[in-house]
Amino acid sequence: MSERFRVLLDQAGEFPRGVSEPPELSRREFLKLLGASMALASAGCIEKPAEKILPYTFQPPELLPGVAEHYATSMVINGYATGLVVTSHAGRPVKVEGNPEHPASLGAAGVYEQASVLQLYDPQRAKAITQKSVARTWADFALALTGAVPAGGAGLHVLMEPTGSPLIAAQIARVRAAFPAARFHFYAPLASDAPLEGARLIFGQPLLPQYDLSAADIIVALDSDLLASGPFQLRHAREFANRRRVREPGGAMNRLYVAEAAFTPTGTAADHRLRVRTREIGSLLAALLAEAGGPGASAAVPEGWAGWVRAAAADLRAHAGRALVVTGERQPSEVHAAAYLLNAALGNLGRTLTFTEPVLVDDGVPASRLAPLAAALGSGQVQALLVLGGNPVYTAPADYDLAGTLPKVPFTAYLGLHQNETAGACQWLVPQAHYLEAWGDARARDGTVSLAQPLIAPLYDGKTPAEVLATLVGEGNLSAHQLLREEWMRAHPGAGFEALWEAALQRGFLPGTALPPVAAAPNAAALPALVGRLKSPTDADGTLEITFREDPSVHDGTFANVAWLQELPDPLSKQTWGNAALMGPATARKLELNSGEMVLLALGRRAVHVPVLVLPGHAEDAITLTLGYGRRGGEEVARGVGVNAYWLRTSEAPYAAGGARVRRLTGPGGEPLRQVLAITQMHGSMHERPLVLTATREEYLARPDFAKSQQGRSLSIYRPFTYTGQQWAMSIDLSLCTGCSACVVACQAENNVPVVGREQVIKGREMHWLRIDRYFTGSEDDAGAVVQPMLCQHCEKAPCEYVCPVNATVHSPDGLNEMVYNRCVGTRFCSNNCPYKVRRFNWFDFNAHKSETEQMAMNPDVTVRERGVMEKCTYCVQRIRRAEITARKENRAIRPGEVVTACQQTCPTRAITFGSLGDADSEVVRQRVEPRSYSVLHELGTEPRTQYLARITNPNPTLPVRTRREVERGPEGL
Amino acid sequence: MFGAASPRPAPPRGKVYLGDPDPVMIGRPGDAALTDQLLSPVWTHSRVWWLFFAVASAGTLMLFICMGYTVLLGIGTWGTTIPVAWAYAIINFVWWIGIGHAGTFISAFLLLLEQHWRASVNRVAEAMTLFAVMQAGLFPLLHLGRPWFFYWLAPYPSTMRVWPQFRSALPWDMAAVLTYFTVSLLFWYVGLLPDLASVRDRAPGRLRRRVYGVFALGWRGSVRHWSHYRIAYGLLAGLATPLVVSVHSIVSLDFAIAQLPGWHSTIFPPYFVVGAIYSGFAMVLMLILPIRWWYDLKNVITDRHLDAMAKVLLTTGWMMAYSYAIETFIAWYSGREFERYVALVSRPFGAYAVIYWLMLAFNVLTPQLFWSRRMRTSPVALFLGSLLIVIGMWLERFVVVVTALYRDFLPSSWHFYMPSWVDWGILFGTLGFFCFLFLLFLRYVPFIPLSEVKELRAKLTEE
Repeated sequence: MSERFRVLLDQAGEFPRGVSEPPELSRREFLKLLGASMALASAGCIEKPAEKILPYTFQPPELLPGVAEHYATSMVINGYATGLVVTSHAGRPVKVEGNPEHPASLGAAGVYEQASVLQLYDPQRAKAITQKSVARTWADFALALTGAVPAGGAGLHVLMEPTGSPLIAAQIARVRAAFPAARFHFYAPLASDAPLEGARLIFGQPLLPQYDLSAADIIVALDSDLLASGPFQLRHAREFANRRRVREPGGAMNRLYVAEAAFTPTGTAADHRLRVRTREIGSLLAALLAEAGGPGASAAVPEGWAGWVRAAAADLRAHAGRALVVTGERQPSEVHAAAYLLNAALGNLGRTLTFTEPVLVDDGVPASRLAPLAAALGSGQVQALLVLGGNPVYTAPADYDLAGTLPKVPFTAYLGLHQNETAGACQWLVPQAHYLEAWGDARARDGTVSLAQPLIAPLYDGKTPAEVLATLVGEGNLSAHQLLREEWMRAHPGAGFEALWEAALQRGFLPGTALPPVAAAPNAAALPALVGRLKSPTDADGTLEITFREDPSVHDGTFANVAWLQELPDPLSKQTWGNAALMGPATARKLELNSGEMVLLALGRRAVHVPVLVLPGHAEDAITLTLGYGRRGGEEVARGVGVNAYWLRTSEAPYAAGGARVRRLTGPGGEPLRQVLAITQMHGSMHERPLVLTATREEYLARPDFAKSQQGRSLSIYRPFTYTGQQWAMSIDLSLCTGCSACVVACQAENNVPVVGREQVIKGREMHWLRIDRYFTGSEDDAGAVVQPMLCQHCEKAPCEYVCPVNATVHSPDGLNEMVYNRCVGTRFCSNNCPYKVRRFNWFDFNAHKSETEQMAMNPDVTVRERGVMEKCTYCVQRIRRAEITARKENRAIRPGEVVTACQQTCPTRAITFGSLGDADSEVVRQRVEPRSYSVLHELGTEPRTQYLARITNPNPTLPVRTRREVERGPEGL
Repeated sequence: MFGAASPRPAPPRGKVYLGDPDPVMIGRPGDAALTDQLLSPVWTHSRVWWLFFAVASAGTLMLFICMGYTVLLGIGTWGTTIPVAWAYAIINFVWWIGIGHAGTFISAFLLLLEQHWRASVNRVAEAMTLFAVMQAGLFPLLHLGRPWFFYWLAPYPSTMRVWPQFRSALPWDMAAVLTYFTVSLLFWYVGLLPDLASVRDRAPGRLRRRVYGVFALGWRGSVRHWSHYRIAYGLLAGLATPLVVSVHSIVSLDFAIAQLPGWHSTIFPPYFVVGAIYSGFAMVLMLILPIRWWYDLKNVITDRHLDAMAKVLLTTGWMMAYSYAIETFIAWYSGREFERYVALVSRPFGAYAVIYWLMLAFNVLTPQLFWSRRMRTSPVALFLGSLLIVIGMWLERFVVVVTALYRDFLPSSWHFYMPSWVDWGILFGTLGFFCFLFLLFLRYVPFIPLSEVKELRAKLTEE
């Protein structure tokens, strides 16, 4: 190519000049370019407006992020208050504990109290005021309400849950003054008037019995689950335990006789238990009366009862004045009256049994019950109905048919937590404020005035019954706080009010407000007539008695939407997520039924399909069906779970009825229809393994070392490891544990233990870190039960530690077996090697579906575990570390008893003791050196830090004692 | 049947060499004949192969779907629970690893013992080992709750400065299985080299020659190559032989180091190793018999081979019977209530009693057939018997794992175990994946070791 052409190509601009040669750029020009480009670059930057952030320098002085606050409040169940202390993190309540000073709690909290936190954060709670599903405001409601009430209040009915609240009582009085024709009704399905009526029969006035178990050497409980059920259960359990605890061989113990139909925790604790159908308790009491020397016909005692009755009567007589006969609330009034008279004859009045005025508003007033309301509804006299709390459309006796009569009332309004059955039948729904977000007051069973203060602003602008009642008298603009304060100012006028108010709020109650005992003498002459009425009904052949009982986890249905409680195993049947027709083994054999088979259970004209559950220790020819299931409202957790027992329950026999018939349901091919029951413990026999050691008081005195084979350090060729400093250990007294399962819920609440649901429980994947093992003992006719809380034993020679491939479970210097969640890869070898099977695995992401509010319920001090990791009891390590931090900041050692685990703190009987072995004078050390302290599966050499105190019973020497062989071999359970 | 590359030589019939009533090889075919016979499957098509391959592919797909489902949702998709926290995954793991042991036994152990009959079957056996170990290796990863952290079981210098916990058998497992796979792969591959070179030299089509050429690593068949080959092959055999004993002993220690009654038994290492060889030989037979029939290889896989393998089955079957008896006796003799319950009550009469008795029937009764020489050389009897044994050994792993777990110390934690559909899907999926790999092996790799058979023929001709 020619030179000219090449130059032309070069200059064609295809490549700029200089591209193939080094740039002729001087240093000065380079620096100029550099500076120019920098300037240009920054010229393109747009300055954002300044956003000033400010530190939390003006925080409220008592609020430290990360440090929990504690507030005293009260929870009301069936009208009676239990004082609580609630832990609050960053302005939201997270954990409930008992109030140590409150008479109803004594520092313990029961199953419902522990689970109430989840109820507060229930995502299905009613969130807005609605009128026939149209959203409205509070002002709208107040206007509609005042407009709907006729002058003078004729036709105005208010249906409420029972309450002892002084505020509510005062407001009721004001409403009655403004509307003289207004009627108030109080209804709770399990609240019975019979105890008061019984008192009226012999005292002439309705009086409330108060029990003092601390003064009782002998307790006879007739169909009464007083240790685990009822308003004062925590107190009764504590008093019972204080008289039960054995410190050394031969120590004094009380003795408990129990007669009941279904197995309850009180029956578990009994020294002598008799299976008696609910409606036969009366004749049992008559026999007892006759034997105990009271007047009355000595009718022939059925043979099965003779030994028990004679022994109990002898004991009662021998300990007259220091004995107690208790009858369950559901028994008819004549039974209560006869029992009071028996107590009086024994000289127990004023000692173990006292009477006070009724605590609840309108208690003992028949016009304030549900029956008059049902009648008024039926005859169309109701113009305006306010339902404040509860769920009467679901819980009312079926023959009242509230679901049918309520919609006909011109104005109906429901104050409730959920869009439930009652809300469906009423026009207005006003969201109720949960007790944890509401101001109020209440009374405990002994009358102590208790306060409830909110721990969080109402999540959904909920209202309290007090505010609704205030609306009726034109004070609808006042908040619950204002109403409460004003009422209290009226009740406690004077200069010292603020000091009193603050002291009451801090303490949670007003000391010294318990009702004084009424010194009334009973009319003993009424006894013969009463005894005449204590006859057992005769049932038609082929029929069974049916008892309607509160459910130990969902109560009467109030807590059906609390997942923790649905998944809480029933203390004796270990059933979760549902109920079943409980029956005894002989009855099941006679009817050719097995557990899990569906039957048609018919009572009168009503029938339900329900699965059967055969329970040793259940009275024969009887069925127990717990209430609170079979929900159909807006609560999604509860919907479709279990069977609605209320459907069978009528007003003639709301607690126990005869004439129930059972027929097996079969499928198309004739095979029995079955329902898989979600039971956590499938086997009920110890198979003669030394798991729960039991001895009678006499045996313990004669041979204090009966537990020797399960004690002591194991032989080892290795030099023992010396532990210094804090060494955490636990001791569980099996004499005191009733199996109430409050500790299980407390652990779940404290440690963010997830709920897995019914299907997963059926597969055995429930996540409870602490479980209560229940074994049946004795024989089919005389079955007993023993319970054993089982949690991580924190073995010094842990089998789980040496099989973990990644060092995810290691031993801490202070004796804890630590679970390192973020190192766990989930091989599950540790679970296989754990002989106690206390380790739980996250099979799925169980926390995936938690709503925003449910997340608020979680304890921020505890990790939420991921899918695929193991978890187990940590001895509440977060509490231990917090105590260490506090102690270090205050430059001192941890005090003995300063660290309290969640299970220990909530246990009503104080069966669980925790502490450091390094503190020589601590309770845990004292218990571990008792002769009856032993380790479970001691022969494996795991050296567990959790030891058990063998169960000591105090049977009556005149009754044949079950030999140890019989005791440990039980009937095969469920 | 076969596509025609070259006419297949008819295997000589009825020609028996005097002095050898049970020949290792029938006839003395020449080099060319052997090459043709043994290499022709590598480049022939077969519709039947495609059918089997389709089924195996479906199984493989099912496996990966189930695995993905498990990893996405969690181990909860399986049937495992507390207390039965190990079930199908570990059963399958032990079963597959056990099956793999026979391959190494035949190729390495018998090589060192100079058992020449191994020549024709050892590559199939070794391939079976490789693919079985691959199946087994899926499970230690898959059964983890958080499988993405599986590498924490390996002793690598982690920034967290945490090492595995070496007292646990699971890191030993990881080392053993990885070692086993690596050594087996190397051993198999080194042995393959001369035959890959043969295929390279004779394969029709340039592409095939190129591909096999790459894999043949430049084998020229020179004396030097052969010398290195012998040394390498022998060394690897020496490495692989102790693995036959050690790997399954370590796998058995997964159970034996636990203190669970039914697991905590010192007989486990030899018990498992013997069981492994037992199930492995059964699986080798199940693979060899159809191959022998389909590809018409009766002259190189003779009755002698079948007879020898059946004798191994009989021997190891009796050793298994002894193990079952001793385990039960020692459990009773120990006087320990928990041991007695598992061995004398729970296993024979508990919820899984049927599985226990089937296991005994399949594992103890079936090999008794092989006392008879006719049964030992009857392909049908061998195949059916091996099938029962392979299933029986799976049932045995089930009995070991599940029955010890579902009823242990505290009756309160006793719970029945039921597998889920994902468990079944994974089990049959691994079978499908195994067949998938094996069919590929049959199609693309000379599965009868050509050079070794030629060597054997040469040696026999000399005698």
